[in-house]
Amino acid sequence: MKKLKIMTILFAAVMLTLAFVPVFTYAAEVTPAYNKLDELAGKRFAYVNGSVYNQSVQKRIDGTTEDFYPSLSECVAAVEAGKADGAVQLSYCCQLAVNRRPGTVALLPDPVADVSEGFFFPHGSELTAQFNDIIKKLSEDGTLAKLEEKWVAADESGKTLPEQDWDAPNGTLKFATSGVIEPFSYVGEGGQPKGYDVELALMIAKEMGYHLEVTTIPMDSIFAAVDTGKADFGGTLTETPERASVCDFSEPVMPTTISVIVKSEEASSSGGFMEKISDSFRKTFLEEDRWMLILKGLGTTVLISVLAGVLGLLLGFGTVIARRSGVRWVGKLVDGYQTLMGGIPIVVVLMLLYYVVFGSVDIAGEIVAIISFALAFGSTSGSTMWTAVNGIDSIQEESGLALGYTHWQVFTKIIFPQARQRFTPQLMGQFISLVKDTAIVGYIAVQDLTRAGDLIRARTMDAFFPLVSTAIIYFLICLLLGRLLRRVAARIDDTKDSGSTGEVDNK
Amino acid sequence: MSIIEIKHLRKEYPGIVPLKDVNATVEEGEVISIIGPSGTGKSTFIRCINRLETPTSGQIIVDGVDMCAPDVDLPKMRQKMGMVFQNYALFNHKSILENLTMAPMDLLGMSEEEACEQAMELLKLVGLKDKAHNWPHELSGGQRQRVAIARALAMQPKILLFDEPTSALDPQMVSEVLSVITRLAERGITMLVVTHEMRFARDASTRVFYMDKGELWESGTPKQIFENPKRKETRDFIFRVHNWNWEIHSVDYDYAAMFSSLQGFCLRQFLGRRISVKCQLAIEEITSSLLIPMAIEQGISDPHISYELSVGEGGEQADLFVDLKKLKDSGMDITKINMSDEDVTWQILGNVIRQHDENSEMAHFVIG
Repeated sequence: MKKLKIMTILFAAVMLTLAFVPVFTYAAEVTPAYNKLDELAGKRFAYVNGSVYNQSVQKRIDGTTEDFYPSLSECVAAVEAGKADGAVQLSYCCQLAVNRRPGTVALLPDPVADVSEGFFFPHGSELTAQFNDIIKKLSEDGTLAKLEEKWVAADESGKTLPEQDWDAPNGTLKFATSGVIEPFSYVGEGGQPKGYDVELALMIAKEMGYHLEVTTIPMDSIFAAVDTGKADFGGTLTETPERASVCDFSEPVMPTTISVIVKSEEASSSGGFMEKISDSFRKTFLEEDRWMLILKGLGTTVLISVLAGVLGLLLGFGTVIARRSGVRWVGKLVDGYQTLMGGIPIVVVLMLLYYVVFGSVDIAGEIVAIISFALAFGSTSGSTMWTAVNGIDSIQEESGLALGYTHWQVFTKIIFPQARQRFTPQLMGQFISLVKDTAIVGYIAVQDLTRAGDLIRARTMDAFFPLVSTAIIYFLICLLLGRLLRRVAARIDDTKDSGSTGEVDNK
Repeated sequence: MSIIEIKHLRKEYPGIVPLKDVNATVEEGEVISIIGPSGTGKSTFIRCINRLETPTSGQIIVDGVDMCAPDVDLPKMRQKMGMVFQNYALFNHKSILENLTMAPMDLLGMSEEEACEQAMELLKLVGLKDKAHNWPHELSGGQRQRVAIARALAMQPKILLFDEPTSALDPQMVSEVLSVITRLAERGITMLVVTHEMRFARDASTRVFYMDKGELWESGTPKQIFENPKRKETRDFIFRVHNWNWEIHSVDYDYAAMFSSLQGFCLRQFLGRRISVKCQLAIEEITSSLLIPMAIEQGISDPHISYELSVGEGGEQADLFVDLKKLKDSGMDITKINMSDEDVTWQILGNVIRQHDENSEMAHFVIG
């Protein structure tokens, strides 16, 4: 146990050191690596997943190559680390990012291109026309301009959303937004989505007599969510012919520009190591009560893992029973299920279930996540258990039968308890893997621990501290769950002789 | 009424018929040894009785119940018939005591107290009371087999079936298990024992079944079967189990294989230690000090040496035959075999061989 503690401390120390390596390189003066767009010809650009700004950039700058990252914070981190030469995003977003990472990155003064973003709807939705009318009205009476002013302002205190205290005779509209494009769509106090897009959506909903339910979905799944009806509308994003073939777009809500963030020349380090740590800590955890976002995410991760673990175990046990039945087609069915689950990445299973199988059903992402991971864990735990059960000498079964036990009694009292001693350690390892694997549920709009970290990173533009914090939390939770499981397993196991575990009668 | 009646029992597997047509009856309290060559359906026969194997056709009636009836309550019937397997198969996840209390508590509705009390008595019976709280893997093979017998007895069966209970054991553990079974035989429990231990079959059973080629060839008292077998197959088998044959075809023969086979034979026959050692010594001296060097001297790399060792009644003496004709046929000149009395080999042989007589076909040594 002592060794374990030392390991934990060591791990945390290493990760923290890693986290603050970039802190030492904060520059005192801003000396951008590039000053003009033309200097970036043939360079590497970082875009956000699902972004189409690469098309505009290619028209303006020659011979660029492109990489895609989950959000702007990763793009900025890539620029800082020299993995990309420029990061492209809406100019407002870029300005915020540069403000948040003073000295390490800079904004090129010239915008790359004009863009305009709009809401989008499933094909043929009546909402499109209704939205267009209201957008036109709000534009004409100056509301949109005021809204823009409010959300791009340096002053954070005024950036609040109105309460939904109006009557909603028409029900609730579901709005899918990325949540990682500050100031348009981002996650604020207590994990609540807000921003220009969100408030505008609220205004329109109010006008139309709806309430609004806002979900944050990763950029690359947002069209799928709207297309399959998981959300009534999404936004805001730039219209392209390809996107227009999937969804109907509203009129542009705000004409704006996109800009490029480049790396700044390194200058002397501006000391204050502890200061930087506490600053990062404050930004990641304390500001806007972001710790609650992490805590909630952690709760979701544990909930999904534990429920999927329990259901998966039952399912796995079911496959063992099914195989033991000796019925040929049942065995084939189990074979098929396990081969299928073994051959498809769990992230694909998750998205297939959410967007295709349950596409037209109003079902919480958490439930789909639990089902997906239960299916995956049921497959692996089932084959682990089956291997162990199969490995018990058949003479044990015959001995039980000869004493007068029924087949079922032989299984539950003699075969399974012996198999359990063999497979329990493996299953515990597989469960811990399951906990870590749940990190992908963000794909279907579930806010787990990883997704909470993503959302926070999108705000602080600091990739390292939230990532390291997430790593430490996962590590600790896995450690804790592992020890808890061992204790539970020890209690369930009615065999007091630990020495005979795994011992096989070689005769 | 007979406790077991078997009529026209037949068992087929794809491509093999281990039981062709077996008819037998067993009366209450009988101890029956089932002997015969390996792979002739003895185990299949005994496994059919408690329906671990399902017969292809025929009838098995145990205690008045047709075991092959579709509505037979197999678990209930099996409770009346304990079975002891070759590989003992104690439940590895249970202590010795739990191995004995588990089934009576689960199936006979005994209280834990009753079951423990009975278990301790049974462990005492098999001489393992002090091992009650040990684990199966901590016991020797012989001890485990004795526990397996006690476990079968714990269900208070009317019949005990033994499927080669000593075949998987090291030779020195065989007798501890056999003495337990012999003691049970004296208690009047009906037993069927598939065995290769001829002495056990002869001394402990009330009747002997000789099985061969999927049929019950002969049954009778041990005296009838062992001393006056009626059928040729039985005679051959009884003769074979009393004889040890070995052939050497090369000066580089497999010494280790020959001696482990010889030792196994001596143990099976319950030969005394003194006579076992003498047999081994005689064969070793004749082979490695006499015949093999002679063959090398005469430039023969493939001498044909053929031994036959047979044990006389009571295990007091043994007869060793060396086939001289085969030796001559492989080119050896055996006239040079005579040595002076000062020769060491001859002195050693003289100590173990009581009588020695040679004719043109066989050299016959009486050991003992």
